[in-house]
Amino acid sequence: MKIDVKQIAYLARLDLGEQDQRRMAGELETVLAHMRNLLKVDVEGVPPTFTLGDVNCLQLAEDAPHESLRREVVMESAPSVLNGYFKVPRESQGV
Amino acid sequence: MTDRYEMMIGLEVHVELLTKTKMFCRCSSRFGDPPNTNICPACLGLPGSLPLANMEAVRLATRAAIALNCSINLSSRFDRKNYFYPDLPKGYQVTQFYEPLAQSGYIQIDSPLKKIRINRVHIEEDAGKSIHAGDEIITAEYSLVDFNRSGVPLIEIVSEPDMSSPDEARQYLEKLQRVLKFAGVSDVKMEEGSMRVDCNISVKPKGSEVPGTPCEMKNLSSFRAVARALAYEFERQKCVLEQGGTVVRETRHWDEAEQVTKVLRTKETSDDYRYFPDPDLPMLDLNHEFIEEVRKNMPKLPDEIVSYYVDELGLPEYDARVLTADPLLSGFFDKCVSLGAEPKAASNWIMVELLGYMKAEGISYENIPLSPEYLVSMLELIDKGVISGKIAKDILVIMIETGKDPRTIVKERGLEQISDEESLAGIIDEVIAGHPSVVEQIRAGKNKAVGFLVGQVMKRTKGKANPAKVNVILKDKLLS
Amino acid sequence: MATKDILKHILSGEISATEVLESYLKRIDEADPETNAFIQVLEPTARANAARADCLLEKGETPGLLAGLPVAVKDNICVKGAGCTCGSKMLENWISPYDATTVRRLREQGAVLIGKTNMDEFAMGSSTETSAYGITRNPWDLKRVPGGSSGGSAVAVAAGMAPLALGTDTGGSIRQPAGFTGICGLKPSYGLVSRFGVAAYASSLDAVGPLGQTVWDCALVLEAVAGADRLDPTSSARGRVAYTKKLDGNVRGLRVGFPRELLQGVSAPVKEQFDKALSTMEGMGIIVEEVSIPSVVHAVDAYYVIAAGEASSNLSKFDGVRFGKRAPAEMLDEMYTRSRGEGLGKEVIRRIILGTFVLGAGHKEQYYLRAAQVRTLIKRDFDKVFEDFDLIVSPASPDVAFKIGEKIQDPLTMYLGDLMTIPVNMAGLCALSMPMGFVRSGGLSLPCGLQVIGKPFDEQTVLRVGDSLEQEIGAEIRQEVRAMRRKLSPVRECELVD
Repeated sequence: MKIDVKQIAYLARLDLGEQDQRRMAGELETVLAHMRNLLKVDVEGVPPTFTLGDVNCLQLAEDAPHESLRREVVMESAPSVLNGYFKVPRESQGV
Repeated sequence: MTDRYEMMIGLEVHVELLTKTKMFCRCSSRFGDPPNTNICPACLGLPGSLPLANMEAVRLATRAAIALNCSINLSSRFDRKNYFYPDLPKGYQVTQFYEPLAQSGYIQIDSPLKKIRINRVHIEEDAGKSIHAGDEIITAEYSLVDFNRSGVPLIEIVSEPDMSSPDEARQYLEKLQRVLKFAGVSDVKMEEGSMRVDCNISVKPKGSEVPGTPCEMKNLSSFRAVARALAYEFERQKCVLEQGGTVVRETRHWDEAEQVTKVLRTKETSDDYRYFPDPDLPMLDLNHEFIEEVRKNMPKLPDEIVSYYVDELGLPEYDARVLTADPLLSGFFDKCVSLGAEPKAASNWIMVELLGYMKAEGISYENIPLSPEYLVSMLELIDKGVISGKIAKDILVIMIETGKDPRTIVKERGLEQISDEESLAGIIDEVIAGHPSVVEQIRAGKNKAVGFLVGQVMKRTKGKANPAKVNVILKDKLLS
Repeated sequence: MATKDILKHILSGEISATEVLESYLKRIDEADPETNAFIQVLEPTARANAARADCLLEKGETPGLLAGLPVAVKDNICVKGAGCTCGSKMLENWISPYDATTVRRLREQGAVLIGKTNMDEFAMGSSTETSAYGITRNPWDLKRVPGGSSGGSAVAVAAGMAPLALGTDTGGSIRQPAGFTGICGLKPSYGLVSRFGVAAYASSLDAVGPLGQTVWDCALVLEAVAGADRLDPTSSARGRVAYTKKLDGNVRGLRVGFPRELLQGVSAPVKEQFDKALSTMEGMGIIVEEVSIPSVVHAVDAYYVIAAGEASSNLSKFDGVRFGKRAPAEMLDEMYTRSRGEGLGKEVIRRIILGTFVLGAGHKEQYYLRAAQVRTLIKRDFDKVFEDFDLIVSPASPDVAFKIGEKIQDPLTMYLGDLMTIPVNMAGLCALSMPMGFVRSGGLSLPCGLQVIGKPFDEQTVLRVGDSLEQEIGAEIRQEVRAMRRKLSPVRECELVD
C-alpha cells in the first residue's frame, strides 16, 4: 500500500521534511501491516464501542452562567495578542 | 419562466439558540460583549478541558425540531468534525454527524403551495469570530480572533433540494425564521449572525432525471443576498451548460459589492473532516416525557395563529399574516383584543398607523413604542364618538411621542369631537353660505357633492366635527 | 518509613508536615539530578500547602485524608498557577489557569503538591524517553528506562523523592513504570476518577490513578481523588468508597484466573516470579486457574488504532493560536505546520500521522471502526471470564526494565511491550501493578510487577488481594528498595525516606 504521508501531514498541519516523510511512510506501513490483523477478526454484527464507563446517557447541566476566566490571565500565555484579540498571521492564498 | 433549464436549491441554515450559556460550558453566550471576555478552558480548548452539555440547548433544539415537523431520535450522538481554523479552538467542532437529533421534517410555503422537506436538524457548537484586517480574506495582513462566540449552541437545519426558484428559497427562509422566532428558539437575526444561510444550487436541463452538479454558496448576509446570489448562480451555471461545459463542484463566495459569486475553494481539495464519535460525550438519550414536556410548552406557531385570527376573529388573511410577522407584534395585537378591542379595528390601527410609524422611524418589534392599553383606550374614544378617526391618527402619534394616555391628550389639547348639533349647525350654515354653487349642484341631485361640504366643515373644525352628524345635518338642511 | 506511619506521626503531632516536606525536598536535591524525575519542583506551593496543614493541625482541625503528605503530580495534570508541559516543548511556557479535579481534591484532602513529574511527551510512550525535558532514569539501574509514560511519578516514589504520586494510564502508563521501578500503581476503572483538567491523549482510554510504595498508599490516594465529578461527562455517579478501610485480608476462596494469552512473550525469569506469586496466592487460600481471553491478542492493534485516532483529534488544539509554542511565520498554514512540526516530538507526530490516517476517508471503516468493534469483543471476553472469576492476574510487562535507547527506534516493538496492560484500558477495567519479585543478573536486582485486574469499579477486591499478597512478600521488597535507595544516592539526615 502506498501512503501519502505528505497529504496526511498537511491534514494534521505538521511540517515534515522529505526525509522525515520517507522515514514516517516506512514506519507507518510496518505498523499498519500489523494492524491489518484486525481484518481477520470476525466482527459480523458486532456493535462498535466508542465510549466506556457506566455513564450510558449524557448528563445535561442547567443553563446558568458561571464566571469566565479573566482575559488578562489567558492572554499572558498567548503567543500573540492585539487589543484583547488573539492575533494570527494571514491566511495563505488557496488552500 | 420559459427557460430550458431548471434549478434545484437546498439550504443549510445555522441558527443560534437562545440560551444564557454556551453548548458545552457555562460561559455567557451574550452577543456584543468586549472580545474574549466570555471564555473558559472548554471554549478556549485549553489542555484538560472537557465538555459539559447544556440542557436548555437540548430543550430548544428539540422544540425547533418539533416546530419543523421532524421526528425526534430518542438516541443521538455527538461527533467531532476535525479541521484547522484559528477560530476553532479545539481543532474540531462538536456536531451531530452520524446520528442527528431529528430527521424528516418539512416547512410549507404558500406560493406555490408546497412542502419543502427538511432532511435533518442537529445540534452543534459555534466557532469563534475571525476579524480580517482589510475586507477581503485574501488580502488581509493578519486576523484577529474573538472566542466569545466559540461554543455558542447552534442548530443546523438542512433542507432537501426541494426549492426551484430564488423566490421559493426566500419564502422558505422567511417561514423558517418566523417559525423559529415564534417557537422562542432563536432571535434569528441575520445581521447579528444568529441566523446564517448556506445554499446549494444545481442546474439541469428541464425535465432531466440526472441532477446537476451542486455548488455551495457562503457569505450570504441577507435574504435578499440569498435570492440574488441564487439568481446569479443560475445564470452562471446555465451559461456554462449552454456552452457545452460542465459545472465544477465548488464552494463560492457571494461578493455583495460586485453582486457576483466567486470561487472560495473547490471540493476536491477541501479538508477530509475525519468525523468520529466524540469519546468525551456519551449518547444523548431523550425520554418520551421530556419530548412531551417540550411539546406541551410549545408556544403557538404562526400558522396556528393565522388560522385563529381568520377563523375565530374574522380577520382577512392578509391582516393575519402581517400581524404574525413577529411574536411581539401578534402578542401586542392579542393583548388589544383581550382588552376588548374590536379585532378588525385593532388590526387596522396596528397595521396602518402603528407599523407605518415604526417603519418610518426604523423601530423594531422589540421596541413597539406604544402600550396595547393606550391603543385600546383610544379605540374606545373613537367608538364612543369622543374623538374622530382623523384626530385619532394625530393622537396616536402624540401618545407615542409623549407617552401620555389618550384621554389626557384629548383633554389637554381640547380634541373632543364636536357632536352637539347646535354648535355644528352654526358652522354648517357658514359653509352653506360660502359655497352657493355647490349647494346648487346638490339641490340639482348631485348627492356626491355633499362630501365636499362635509370636508369643508371638518377643515373649519380642525377635524373635530363628528362627520356622521355633519352629514345628517347637511342633508337635512339642503334636501328637506 | 511507610507512608502510613508518616501520616500517623503527622496526625499525632510528632512531626510537622513542613518537616516532612523539607526532608523530601532534600531527597529531591540528592536523587533528582541522577534520575530526572521532576520537570518542576513546586517549592513555594508545597511549602504553603504544608504550612496550611500544620496550621489546621495546630488548631485541632482535620486536615483531610492526606494531612500534609507530599504528592508528586504528573505534568499532564493541571495545577492552577503552575506550568503543565505534558513533557512537550509545545507547552514549555504555558501556565494552567485552573486545577484538575484530582488536584483540587488533593488540596482539599490536605496534600502537599511537591512537584510536576516527567513523562513521555503527551503520555505517548512506554519509557519516558520521548520527553522534551530529558529522559528519566530508573533508580534500580541508571542505564535503564523507568518505563512510561508516568516514569517521573514512578521514579519520584521509588527513589524516595515523594511518598505518593499521581499518574495517568492510557495503555499501561501507570502499571508498567510501577512494575519497572518496584512500586505500586493503580489504573482505576474508566469513569471512577475524573479526567477534568488532565490533558487528553486518548479520551476513551485515559485514566488518572495513584502510585505509591504500598497498596495501602494507592488506596489512600484513590480514596482522596475518586468519585463523581460533574465536570467530566464520563465520570461515574458512584459515591466515594473508603478503600483503606476495605483492606481486611479477607481473600480466602476468591477465584483468580490467569489468561494464557497474556503470558505470551513473557521472559523466563519474569515467568518464574509470576509462578511464585501464583503459588503464594494459592497458599493464601485463593483459587488460581488458567483461563483464555482469545480476543486480547488483537488488543494492541485495536488499541493503537483507537488511541492514535483520538489523539490526532485531541492534539489538534496545539495549534499555536491561543497558547503554547508558535513558530514565526508569514502565513497561517506555515504558522500551523511549523509550530506543530517544531513543537511536537517524533513519537507524537508518528501517532498523529497514524491517527489522521486511520480516521481518514477511505480508511475509517477498515481501521477505526473495525478496532471499535474488536474492542467490543475484548469487553465481552472479559465479561465472560468475570462471570466465573473475581480477578485476573498477569505480569505487568513481559520483561524487566529495558535499556535506554534499546527500543526507541522501533515503534512496533515498543507498542507490543504493552500487550499485558492495554486490554485493561480497552475494556475499562481496573488493575493494580505491584512488585512481585526481582530478576537478578550481573549484580543487578531489577523489580518486576504483578498485574491484578478487577471488574469495573471493583477496586476494593483488587486492592484487598494486593494488600494481602503484600503482607506475604512485602518484606523482601522493602529491603531491596532500601538497598537501592542507599546505593542510588545515600540517604542522608532523614529516616523518613529511608
